[in-house]
Amino acid sequence: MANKVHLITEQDVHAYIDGELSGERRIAVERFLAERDLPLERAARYLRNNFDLRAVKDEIYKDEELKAEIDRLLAKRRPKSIAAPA
Amino acid sequence: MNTTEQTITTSELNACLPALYRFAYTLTRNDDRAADLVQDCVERCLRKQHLFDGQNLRSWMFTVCRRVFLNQIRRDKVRGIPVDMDDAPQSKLSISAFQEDKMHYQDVVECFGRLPHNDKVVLSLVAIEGLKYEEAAELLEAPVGTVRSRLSRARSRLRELLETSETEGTSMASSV
Repeated sequence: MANKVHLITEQDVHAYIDGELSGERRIAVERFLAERDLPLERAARYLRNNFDLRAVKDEIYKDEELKAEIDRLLAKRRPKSIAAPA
Repeated sequence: MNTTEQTITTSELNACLPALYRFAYTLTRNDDRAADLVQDCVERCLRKQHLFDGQNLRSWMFTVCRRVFLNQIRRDKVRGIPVDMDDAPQSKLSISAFQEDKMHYQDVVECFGRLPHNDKVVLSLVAIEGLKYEEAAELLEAPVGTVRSRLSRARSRLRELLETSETEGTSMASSV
């Protein structure tokens, strides 16, 4: 499978940014991005947006409807990664 | 092609720099920080050039740049990124960079606020809470493919809103 051709989709780029890809697929996406200015710039922006959103988390969660829904969804999670006690 | 020992020539390296700089600028949104990031990245690439597989220098440098940036972010996080106006730095230069940051963060909050509710939910779960797609899909009781497509749509909508806001923002240039 040395010359396997990878078809890279928009969703692959997002998956790459979110750390969902590994191995061959991740390398394929990196190569794809390295050769293309616009997708690379977009990927950088999306990556940046992830950090920005985390940085303004408190502001974003002032939206009570959203906060309530996220809390409700997170509460469904199996208790494996509950925040460590102080 | 020689795969045992790879060395990177200056001309190969220079050829990558414009793209690398653009990438760094997009990540840092600031000339000085972008220049620093490129510098760190080039140093690291040269120090670690034995790890380069000789295949695609641009791709590899961009991977290194991403990693260096992630490390910086993590470091800043430990030190605490000032998102608040209270501890404004001393020099004029950093004040304006700082205010740019503050304005940018305000933009992010505003543009995020204009997204459809479903976009907000999927971005909150993945981008803010850091859930894996699988986990997000489980909580949303939807297939992973749905999470992927919702996320992709949400991000491009947010990007469009931010781009519009940035172009509008440049007209009200405030010099400090």
